[in-house]
Amino acid sequence: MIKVDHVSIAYGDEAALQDVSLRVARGSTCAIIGASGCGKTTLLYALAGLIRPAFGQITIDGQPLLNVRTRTSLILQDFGLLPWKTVRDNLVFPLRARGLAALDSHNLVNQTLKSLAILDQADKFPGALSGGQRQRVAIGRALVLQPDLLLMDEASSALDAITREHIQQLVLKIWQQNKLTLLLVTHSIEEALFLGQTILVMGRGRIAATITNPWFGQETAADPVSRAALVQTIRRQLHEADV
Amino acid sequence: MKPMFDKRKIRLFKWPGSRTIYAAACVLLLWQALHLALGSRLIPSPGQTLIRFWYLLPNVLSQHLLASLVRIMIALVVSLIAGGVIGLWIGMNKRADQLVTPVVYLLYPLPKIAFLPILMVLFGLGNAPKILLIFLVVVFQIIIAARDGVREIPQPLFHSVLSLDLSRKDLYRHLVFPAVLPRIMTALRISIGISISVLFFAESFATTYGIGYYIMNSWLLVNYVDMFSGILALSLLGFGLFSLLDLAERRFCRWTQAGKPDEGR
Repeated sequence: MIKVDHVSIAYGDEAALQDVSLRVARGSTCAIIGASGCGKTTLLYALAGLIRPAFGQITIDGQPLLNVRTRTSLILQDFGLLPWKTVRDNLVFPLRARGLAALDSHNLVNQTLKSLAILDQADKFPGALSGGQRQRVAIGRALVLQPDLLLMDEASSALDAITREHIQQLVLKIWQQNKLTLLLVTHSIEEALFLGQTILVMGRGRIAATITNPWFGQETAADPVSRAALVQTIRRQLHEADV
Repeated sequence: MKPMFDKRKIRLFKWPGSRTIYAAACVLLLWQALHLALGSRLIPSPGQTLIRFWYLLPNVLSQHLLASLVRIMIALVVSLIAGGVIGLWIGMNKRADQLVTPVVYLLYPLPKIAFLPILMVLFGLGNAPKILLIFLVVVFQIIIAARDGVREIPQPLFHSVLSLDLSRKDLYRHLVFPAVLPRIMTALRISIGISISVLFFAESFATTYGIGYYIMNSWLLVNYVDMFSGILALSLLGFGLFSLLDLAERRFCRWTQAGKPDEGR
């Protein structure tokens, strides 16, 4: 269980998060949606242990979060891959830094790359890959660390529509297979509906609404009218949160 | 419709070394043209110079080249280490940046060459003042290149690597060093050209070894063919250093030469 209690974070005089509280059950998915600058990335960074809250507390599985957790993986908008390392080395280096033997690291990385259908790209540099392939590598690097919490910060926003759909399906499959907790930040209502069991609407550093999503994991809705109504509700909440 | 010219098929320099031969041919042609146009022994012909250069290289020029090479290499290596360490430190630490950068900005534009007489008084007439002079000219460029290299690392990349729970040592090893390396290579490339100019100047005083001394001495003896042989040796020294740096860049910055993606896959 992820518990965020009355967390406030400020950059200088500017408040990024104001008294934010939320609960995310272990093994569930949660999509955080909001306009640019609403504080959703700050919340994600705080959950990754990269930013310490000025007020409030974050606990993960009962443990207060004071630093970066070894079992949390973060995927960023521009993938965060090291351009000077090949695809394979991008996955190997965090494992080696954590003390895993070279042979074990290589076996685990090969297995992960194969499962993501990018083993043939293993010796290329990220700069030589397409956006979709880079995204798969970033997912691979996150998965190879065997996390129990996966955080994604607008991780498919730089991709074209078709690649974005493929990546969303891949993320859903990974979530189902690995039983991990998934928190993703997005500004796409469609992505939030597809990947978030719960949708948090954020605006001006606060959580404006928490919505339980009945359309989670469904590409086509059985009841398009009520789905469209939910989309409208989210749009209205987004608008109200930002005003 | 097929394009009239397929760019992939137009390759001017197919085999290795062809660019060097092309550049040498251009320089020799210009040199010969200048020799013919002036008609003075002030600029000897390239042929005459090359024959003399070949004759002087084994016993005379090689010793002067070696002395110059040792001075320049020591200065560059020490500048690289000191400048790299200071640059990374001020790049990673805001307080250090606030304290050190203004000093660097004040000292960087000073004409360090003017300090050669003082360096000679302080450190004697040996290699030390010459090496120190080159060091003083080069080190500030390395400091600024390393600092800017750190500053240019995108913040998300820092976050991405920090989220992997790495040690500080691993952060430098996997993120900071490789990120600043191309910038340092560029700074070194610029520094080599400047170092050679400074070396030539420094070797004009109080020494009997070094290619700068050899050129100036030949000029004083009004031996222009020997002087041009020395200039040719100095030019080849620079060419060798540039080639070495290119080799190092190809080895250590392989990703900068990696191909671009085929979008739409």
